[in-house]
Amino acid sequence: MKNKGTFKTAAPGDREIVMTRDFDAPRQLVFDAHTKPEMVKRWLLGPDGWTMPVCEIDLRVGGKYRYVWRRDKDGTEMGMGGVYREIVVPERIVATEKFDQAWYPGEALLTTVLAEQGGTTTLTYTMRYESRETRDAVLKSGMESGVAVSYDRLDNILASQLARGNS
Amino acid sequence: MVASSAANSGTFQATTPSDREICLTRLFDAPRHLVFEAMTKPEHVRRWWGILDDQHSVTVCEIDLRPGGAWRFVGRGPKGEYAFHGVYREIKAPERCVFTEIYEPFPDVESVVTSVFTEENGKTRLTVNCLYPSLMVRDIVLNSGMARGAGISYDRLEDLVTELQRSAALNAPSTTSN
Repeated sequence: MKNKGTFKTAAPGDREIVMTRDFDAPRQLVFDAHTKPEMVKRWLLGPDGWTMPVCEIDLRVGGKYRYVWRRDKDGTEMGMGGVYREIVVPERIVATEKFDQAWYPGEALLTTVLAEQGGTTTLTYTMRYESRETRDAVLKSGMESGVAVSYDRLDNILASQLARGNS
Repeated sequence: MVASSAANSGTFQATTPSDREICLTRLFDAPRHLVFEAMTKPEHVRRWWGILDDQHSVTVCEIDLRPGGAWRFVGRGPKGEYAFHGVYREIKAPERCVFTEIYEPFPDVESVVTSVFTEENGKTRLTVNCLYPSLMVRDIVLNSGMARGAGISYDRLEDLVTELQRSAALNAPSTTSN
């Protein structure tokens, strides 16, 4: 996984976390991986041992999405969802986020931007929280390590998909 | 992989007492002050920490053993280097030691590691409790093979304390006259 080392996290300003990562895939494919349930379910899982039994996406401005994760070992479930605010295929998705069992106060605004250059897509994922305290609490939760693991998995899926497509 | 011929290897156990914890435990054939020293002196830590085989080494090992003092270990293996650091919170030699731990690629994610050394039938039981900020982080650590790595590292720690005792016995002034 040669792009593993491109994953970076920053916490600019008071309320944001910004993660970036490169993928060796056209951005349309990375965009699809974020917006087609059959693809999202395969990678947006955090650590191994979790699955995503619910993945509903109504991809239009004002449309809702809902994800539920399940830890197979003991059935622990975690759900969240939100509303799409902006969609520009294949480069930009803005959506709100709220967990069923709130582990941070309020709502977050998530912005995914995809830029393609020379066959590599750079993903920039910005999470904006309602306060500095919330942003800092999310940083400390280790959420970024879950995102990093998920992106590694996405990288593998994209690579195998492209290999299949080219054969 | 180094064959696990180390004494007490079978006493190693890794459990998950709660959603956010991993607990490691093992017996060692050595007095607890020696096990404590082997875990808190850089020249000793270099011999066992992350030494999964002869392709692994410790390139940096800094320990400022006092409450508020910092530590930093960097290991090197076939896939590159990996660095951890933290701060000692509590030190009660030779029975207890608490420190924070950060895996450097994720600098905001801190875990708390509590090591307890107890004497048990002439051996020392080491119990290491690692508390993570979330179930997700705990599972990521488990999936990384941490428990397997700790098991192998502790075998090297056993080898080390055996060796330390042997050299202590050789250097000790003779108390018998035969």
